[in-house]
Amino acid sequence: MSERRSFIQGNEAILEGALAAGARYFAGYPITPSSEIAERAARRLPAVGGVYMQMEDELASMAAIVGASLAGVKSFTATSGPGLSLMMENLGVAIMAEVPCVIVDVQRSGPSTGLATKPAQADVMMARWGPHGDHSAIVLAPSSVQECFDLTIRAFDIAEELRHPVLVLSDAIVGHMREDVLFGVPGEVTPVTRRDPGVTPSEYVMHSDGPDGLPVPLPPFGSDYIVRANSSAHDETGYPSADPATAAANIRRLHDKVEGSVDRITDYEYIGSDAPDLVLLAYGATARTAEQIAIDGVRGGEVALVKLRSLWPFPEELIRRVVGSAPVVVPEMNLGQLVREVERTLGPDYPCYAFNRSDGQPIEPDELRSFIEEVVL
Amino acid sequence: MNRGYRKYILEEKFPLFWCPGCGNGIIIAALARALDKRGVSPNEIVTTTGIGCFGKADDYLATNSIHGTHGRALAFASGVKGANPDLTVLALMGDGDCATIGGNHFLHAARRNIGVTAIVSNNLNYGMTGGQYSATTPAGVVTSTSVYGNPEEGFDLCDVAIAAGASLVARSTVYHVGVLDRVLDEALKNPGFSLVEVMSSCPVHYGRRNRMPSAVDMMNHWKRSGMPESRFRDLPADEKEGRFPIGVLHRTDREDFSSRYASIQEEAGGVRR
Amino acid sequence: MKVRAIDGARLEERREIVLAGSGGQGLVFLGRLVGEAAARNGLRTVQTQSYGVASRGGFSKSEVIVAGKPIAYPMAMKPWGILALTDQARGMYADSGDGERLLVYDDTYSKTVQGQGEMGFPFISEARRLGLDTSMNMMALGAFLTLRPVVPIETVAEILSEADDELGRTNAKAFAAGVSLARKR
Repeated sequence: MSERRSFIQGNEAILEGALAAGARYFAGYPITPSSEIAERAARRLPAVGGVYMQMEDELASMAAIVGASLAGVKSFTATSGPGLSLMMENLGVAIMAEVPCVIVDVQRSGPSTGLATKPAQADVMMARWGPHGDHSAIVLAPSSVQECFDLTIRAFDIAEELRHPVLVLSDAIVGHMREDVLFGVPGEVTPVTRRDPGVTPSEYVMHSDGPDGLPVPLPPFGSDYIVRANSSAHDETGYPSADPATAAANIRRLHDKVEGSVDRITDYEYIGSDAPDLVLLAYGATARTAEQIAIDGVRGGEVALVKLRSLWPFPEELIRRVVGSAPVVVPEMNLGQLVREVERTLGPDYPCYAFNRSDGQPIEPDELRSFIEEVVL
Repeated sequence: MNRGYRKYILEEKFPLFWCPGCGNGIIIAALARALDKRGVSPNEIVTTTGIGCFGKADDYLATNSIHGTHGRALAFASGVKGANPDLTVLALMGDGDCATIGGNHFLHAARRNIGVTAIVSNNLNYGMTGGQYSATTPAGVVTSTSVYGNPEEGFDLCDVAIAAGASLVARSTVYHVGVLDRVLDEALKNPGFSLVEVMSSCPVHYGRRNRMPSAVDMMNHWKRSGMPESRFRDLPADEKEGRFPIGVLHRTDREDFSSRYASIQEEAGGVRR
Repeated sequence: MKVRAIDGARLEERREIVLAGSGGQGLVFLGRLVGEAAARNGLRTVQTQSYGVASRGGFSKSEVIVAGKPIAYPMAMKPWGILALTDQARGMYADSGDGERLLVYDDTYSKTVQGQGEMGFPFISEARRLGLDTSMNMMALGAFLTLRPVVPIETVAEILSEADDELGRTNAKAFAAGVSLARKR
């Protein structure tokens, strides 16, 4: 294989990752700072037999990728906060009907129109709790162009395995920066593909688990199987039911399959010594600031970084294990979102600090270092 | 009588959930007959629905289905058809679903001329939630949210579809079943976007508030109102009031989305399936 | 999970440049060119840019970082070199960097004298004289990279030679002219 690295933008790497994962359908509505994904999709997809559809809004985009995925084609969309707000409705359908698909959110400053071209990490809780009703969420967060490529492939794989929508939570910094990347070599990237259900059409039960404990494979519309995707509370066959026990089983199943897969989904990198005096817990573009601190060091102690590449389901056990008893600092380009989950996990008496910036600007190493040296250590 | 249409219907799920006198069952039966005539098997069909009385239609069809969200049936359908043009894709909606909350998707599905057959059961109000006015409720009509008479005008859905670019636009009523069978067959044959608007009875909510409280009253209303376009055209203006044309009202041979996109794939160097 | 030890040598090898001016001067294109050249040489690189209305007039910039090892913070913290194509940009970076930093600017119309750590070149008038007006930015890049070689000049020239159109040929010529302009100093 050639070691030659490509030099591309984060948004472009997401599209290349999707193609490497076997995605062949994109529906979307252009929005800054994600539009490069749509533009590259429009150019690249038809060249590989795929389809790009520019929809009338994000409601339709999300609905269309659910429809396309049920038709047997790996599908995705890309947007930013205002568009993700509109996608919540039909993201709920993907969750409820157990339809695999990938949604990319290149976060920008909000709320509402906000600072349309500036970065933020303030969609973390929307990504978790956006759709109404009890549900779980699977969210991956790249901090480099390489991770844009790698995690997009991973997102499709998890979506297929768990038959659940997966969000790739990028941001305007990661989306627009260009870096050298190493693309997977065709043949070495082995994406998860749709399998045969392994039972006859009459035996097929759409919302049940196979022998491997994962949801049974999803046959495409048009095969010998009948597939009933239902946004209403339904029984195992997908037929609507108002029976309380059936509804409880329905909701419990959707919740448990994700929360029970936390180990399968969790992805992170630990940078630093084994017994640090302080642990930085960061993700996305902010993880790059934190990494700089971990490399340069601070006055008064040793710093380690836990760079989270998956945010939801939240890796509670991992967090408890890696922090030991060292103080934790969670820098975020928001007023404090993931830090709530860290505090919940570590308890009210644990020394946990939030460092926040919500003005459309990145957190700079100097300001984070000063905070650590003056406030924490 | 040919009973082939029964394979499209889940008779084990009967009785129908709809109220006595509702027109929806008539539309389901006509659709099943039309599908049978086209000879397409249930597993090759995808029925998409939204929310509302007719949004429950997929409960009684033996086809694949997406029971989605309010107004979005056409958006789900567009994704299905976009990804696999070989499927027969239906969008079954009420007037609330299609003309009101989903109006934008309706415009754009028609503009895109994507090969979906939209069948709209237009009962002129929101039946499921108790009979509130929708975007097709005529001005002055009484509903549970227009107790002094509807202050808004209703859409003529067929006019909207024609203006938006649908390649086949047809209308019938639940009384004119022969016309309904014929236009559904025409719609299923059309490769592009088709609208079949079916004026349908809701005696329980709409009729009760507008002096048509029984199923028979409503049937008589449709019998009087709908007439072939050739006859409607020649009516004097004052007699057109309250009446409408039925049959295929519009047809073009504009190329559908999937055919156009196949050309794009060819030009880009990707071979379609 | 991957465990990576901290490598203290990393920052020393990190080189940052800032290409600043106004929207329409092709600063992002210049930055991409440098990044591409770095990637071709097996170096790690990251390029960021100002985005939004700034790229349609008004202040605009593109930053490139080049290193022998993975790069953490993707923006410039202490630029080694600054190319300032407007007086506004020159003013903004007047006090940035340390003693080693060099600010290269266009002095065709400049009314102020060359300051500490600055070097002025008449890019606009030179480009005009050579009939390369449309590629003034490329001439400036040629001179700048000669003085602040974050990537080999030859690689940039090679990338420019691959563009098989009129603008590409003009760019290559202007870049070479910029290199000789700097070498004459």
